[in-house]
Amino acid sequence: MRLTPRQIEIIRQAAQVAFGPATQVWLFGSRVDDSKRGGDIDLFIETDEPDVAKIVRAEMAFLATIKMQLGDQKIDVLVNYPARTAHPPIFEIARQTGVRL
Amino acid sequence: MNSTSAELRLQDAWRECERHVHHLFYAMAALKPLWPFTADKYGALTDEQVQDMDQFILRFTKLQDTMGERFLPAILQYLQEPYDTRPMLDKLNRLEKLGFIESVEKWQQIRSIRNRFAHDYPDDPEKNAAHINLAFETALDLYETLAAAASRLVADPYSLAALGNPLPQSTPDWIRPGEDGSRKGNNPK
Repeated sequence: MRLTPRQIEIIRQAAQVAFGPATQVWLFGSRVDDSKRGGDIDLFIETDEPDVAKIVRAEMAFLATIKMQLGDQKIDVLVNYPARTAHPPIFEIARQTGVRL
Repeated sequence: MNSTSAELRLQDAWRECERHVHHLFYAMAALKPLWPFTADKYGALTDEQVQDMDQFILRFTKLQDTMGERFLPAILQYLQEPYDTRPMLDKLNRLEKLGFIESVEKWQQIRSIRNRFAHDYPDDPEKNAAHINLAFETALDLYETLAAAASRLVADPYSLAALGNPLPQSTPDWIRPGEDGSRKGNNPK
């Protein structure tokens, strides 16, 4: 996995502050692969927050916090939440091939 | 940069922002009957409403870009703050200190809202609708930031003679119902 312990801690903390303490975060995509270089930070987040308006706010707050602490990196976030109607296959792939942070 | 060209640059950036606000608010007024959006309403827009929505997204994006890339940096130049070659985050921190933006974090959040418009997320209609609602509220925040900065710049101690003639703006006050114009009293209790 190509994130430093400090980066992992920042991401995990920011996710729990923004989405709530029960939030789970996976890193997936090219950053999981040690043989590659650079690339986007792909995150899959699972929250138990029922209110979609709060989730959107949380996502924006989360991204703002991370970018202020990690610098302006390209970060892509997928969020699964209870009220979500569609669960694209990428969710399962993220869970299976990703690393829990 | 000498003070005249800094002043011209600031006026020019402000005029561009005013223009974006004008079209942004026009699009919001057209979409007002649908607000707040739900996944169903957002998914059932007519062709004309899609045009209004596209206009909203375009002008929101341009307003955020113009404020971030032109207007806010021009304020620092006009005030002769030595931030020309510094990273954006440094500029924002300085602008927060000077009181021209509410906070760096809030500004970065608005930036994230703008960035999310760069992609479509067809399989997440609920969140798309919620995102538009948040962007509608944020459009008003952007305008308030612009207007507050403008009125400060023409007053003491900055004493910029004038930024120019403001465009007539149909401010979407309906975004924050039950509010008497004060920014913080957002909780109807």
